[in-house]
Amino acid sequence: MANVEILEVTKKYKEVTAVDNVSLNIEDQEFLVLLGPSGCGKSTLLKMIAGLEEITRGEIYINGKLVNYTPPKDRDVAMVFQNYALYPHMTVKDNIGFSLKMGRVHKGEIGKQVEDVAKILQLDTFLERRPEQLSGGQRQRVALGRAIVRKPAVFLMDEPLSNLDAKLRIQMREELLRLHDRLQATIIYVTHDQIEAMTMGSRIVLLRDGVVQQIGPPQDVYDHPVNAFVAGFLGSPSINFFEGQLVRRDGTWVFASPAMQLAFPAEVGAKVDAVNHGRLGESTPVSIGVRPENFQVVDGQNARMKGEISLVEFVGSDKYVYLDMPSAHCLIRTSPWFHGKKGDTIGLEPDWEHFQLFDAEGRSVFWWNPEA
Amino acid sequence: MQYSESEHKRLARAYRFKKYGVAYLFLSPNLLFFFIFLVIPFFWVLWLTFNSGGILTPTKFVGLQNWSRVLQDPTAWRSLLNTLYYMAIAIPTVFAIGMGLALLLKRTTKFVTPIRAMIYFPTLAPIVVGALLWIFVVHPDFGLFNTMLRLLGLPIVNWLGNPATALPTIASLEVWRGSGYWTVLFLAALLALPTELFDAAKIDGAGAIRRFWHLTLPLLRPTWLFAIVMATIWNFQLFDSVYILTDGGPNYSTATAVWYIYKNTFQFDKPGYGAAMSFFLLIITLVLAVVELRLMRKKA
Amino acid sequence: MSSTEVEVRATAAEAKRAAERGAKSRKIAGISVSYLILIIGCCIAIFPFLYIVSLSFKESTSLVSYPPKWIPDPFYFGNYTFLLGETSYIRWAFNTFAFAGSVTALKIFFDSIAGYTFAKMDFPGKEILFTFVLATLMIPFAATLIPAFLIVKNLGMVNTYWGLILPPLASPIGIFMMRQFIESLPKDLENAARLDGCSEFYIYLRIILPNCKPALAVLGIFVFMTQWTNFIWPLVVAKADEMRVLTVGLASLKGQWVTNWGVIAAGSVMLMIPIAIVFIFFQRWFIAGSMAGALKE
Repeated sequence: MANVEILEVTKKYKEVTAVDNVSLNIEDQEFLVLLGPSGCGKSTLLKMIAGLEEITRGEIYINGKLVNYTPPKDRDVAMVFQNYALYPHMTVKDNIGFSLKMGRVHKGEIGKQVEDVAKILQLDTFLERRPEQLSGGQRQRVALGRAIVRKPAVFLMDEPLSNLDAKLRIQMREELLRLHDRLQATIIYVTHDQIEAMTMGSRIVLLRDGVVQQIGPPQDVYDHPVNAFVAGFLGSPSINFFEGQLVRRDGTWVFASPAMQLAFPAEVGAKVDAVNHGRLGESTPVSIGVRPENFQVVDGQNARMKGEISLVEFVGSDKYVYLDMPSAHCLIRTSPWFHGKKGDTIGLEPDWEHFQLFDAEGRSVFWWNPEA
Repeated sequence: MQYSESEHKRLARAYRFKKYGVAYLFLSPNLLFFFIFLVIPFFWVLWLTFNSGGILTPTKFVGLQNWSRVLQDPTAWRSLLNTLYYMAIAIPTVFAIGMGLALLLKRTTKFVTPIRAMIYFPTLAPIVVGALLWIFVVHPDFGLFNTMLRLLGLPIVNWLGNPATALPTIASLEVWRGSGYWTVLFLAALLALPTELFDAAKIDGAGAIRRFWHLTLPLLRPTWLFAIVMATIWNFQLFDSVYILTDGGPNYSTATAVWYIYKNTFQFDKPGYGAAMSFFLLIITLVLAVVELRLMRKKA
Repeated sequence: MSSTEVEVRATAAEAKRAAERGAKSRKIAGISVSYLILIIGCCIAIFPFLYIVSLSFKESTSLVSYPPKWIPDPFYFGNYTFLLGETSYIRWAFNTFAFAGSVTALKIFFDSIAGYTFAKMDFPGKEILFTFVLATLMIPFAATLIPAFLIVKNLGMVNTYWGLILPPLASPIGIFMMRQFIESLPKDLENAARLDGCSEFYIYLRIILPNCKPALAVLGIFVFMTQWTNFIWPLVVAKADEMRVLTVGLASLKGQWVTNWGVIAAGSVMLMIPIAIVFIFFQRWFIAGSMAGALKE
């Protein structure tokens, strides 16, 4: 088993920088998720770890050994591809056993190991079939089996669930986690699906335009986003942003916008003061972020935030309520028993504990660490 | 980073050397043969044009003598004009027949495969076999043409023996042998055309002939472009059937460019002269191809 | 409903049916004419072959007969026995198979591996090399015939199999074809194999080749047919009787012994029989191959 160290890695294609100076330390047995929108460089990074893409600058170590110049087959990594990349001309059995055959493992031994893996993945009855005779879920299992049978130091998974339907995806998510427990393996997992990332990752690395935005356990990243991008990318429905100015009024900080005049409670004001080393002055443009679930519905008359309901969506466990405010929109999540209808005006109070504040550059006032 | 810049450079070089080395190794057999049998010959032929001798006698530098002699040689001009004359007969005919048969085949639904196969079959005959076959077709005594003429009570013709009919007779072989190829090619192109357009034209009341001129032909432009350029290049190299049927005769009426190159090089032992002619041929082929491509582009 | 109304409707329906019938019969007539012309085309294409089959079973003395006898009477096998006994026909056939077969086998290997390299591998100079390969398409064979012959002569390979086989290997079409096909295979397929421990050569051999069988079949048939019918190169390089290929040998029969036409007819028939058999079974591939060969013959 193994750890992977990525040191100041950069990948350039001619003029385009796909991965920009990324450093990461992946612990042994960790389930690390590389998350980001498409084109953010996450797959490129994974391919560099696998050895399928050259590294423009920087170093990658697997188990302390520099692998920049090691061919993929000697890196002791296995990969599961988005489209599975099963060999169309081979049976399931030969697909799974192919790497062992290449490694000159004895024939009888190959058969035994392939059967063991097939049993774990419930593929034992399909061994003689060819990939085109399998369903999507079965193909996905074969792709997994092909990786597992090699007992690699590191598993690399490139959006392995994205071609499955929603139900199967949830089921496979669970199976993958079980497999991770069982194999005690290091897994580096690429996805653009933030739910997948949060449910599976022991840590998440959020990438944007080849640059690491934030690294941390899912809840940490969710609760303490370092910038507006991270806050906006995680969470569904996504966080509400309000643009405005931060002003000082009667000794307290007030967020002022056409939609609201929001005076911060004392403890939040103290928090702002604590991190503010002259960064936030009078009338600084800022934005605030409040997640849909972090609102409290209050009486519309005296509330500091008011909105008119434009749409109510019932999704079973919740209701999503869309509000129009003066030059702003807002989406809140309420219990399914909420009574409001289109055209009603309701008042809101943010949950100050989960309240986000971003400066003009989109950096979080509370969580942005200039040293990181 | 833990490794120094220079260490990285050294390791990267070794790694790439191996990686790129494999690629070059995979290409090497092909590149080797390309080099020996295409690149060297190309420059060699250029060099030969400035020399006399070559195969039996040692080479001697003669400057532009070969080039100027080609330009002054009436037989060289004759062979070139013969080649063009041959192309002017053969190419429009095979295209017309090929297109006609393709249009008919497109309309039919049953027995398409066997009909296509039979029409295509003559293409498979080596030109040599085609030429030998044609002897039986045009032989003055027992040939098929004359047998037919006799049956109809008409006077017989010495097809290959008469300078006026010799070249058209050779062209008729190409028509017989080549039409099937173009039929299949045009049929494939026709079947790939979008049917909606034709349905729309039909609803608009366009007749079959109008549809052909205003829809089919313009839509098939890429195929035409390709077919005309390729037919030019191929037919310019006419040799096999001339060599077997008439050997240039009677009285040079079927002398073609490649036949004349062959004669000069291998029978008159004048490879320098032959080389100069092949270079002319290369230049003319390229110019024709480019001119054709230009003309076609302008029309569109 | 009044009776006139019914009548009017009936007539309208009848008129419509009649119009449909008219259109239908016109269509049937059109199709019939199409078939008639196509069948005439087929006859013209095939008849010369049948004609020489008929001639090949006639004695030379009875070739000219009036009125013509389409079916030979009696069947005369002398042309065939002469061809097999008195000429090197069997040796020529062997040479042709050895020549066309070797070129095909080598071309399949060289072109598929070069196609793989151009389609899937990165190396400096790739674009330039590929452009160069494509550019050689423009050089007519006739232009390089003389020096190609001189090179073969200097290598001492005139009248040898090597001399026959090696120069036709310098042809770019197959590389182009294979590159097109292999490019369409997903990149992750080789990446998976790369991680599974394959060397580049093994990826080519175990992953790429089995997945481009159709392209290989088309290429193989195309190359084999091209060389089977090749004339000018074997004519130039293998003139000795025992090194001739069928096309050259057959041509040499003309005028060798005061041209025995019956023998030539028999030789042509025997040359076409294997082609016909292979063609009947692999028609689809032949036609696909000739489309690919449309780039150059």
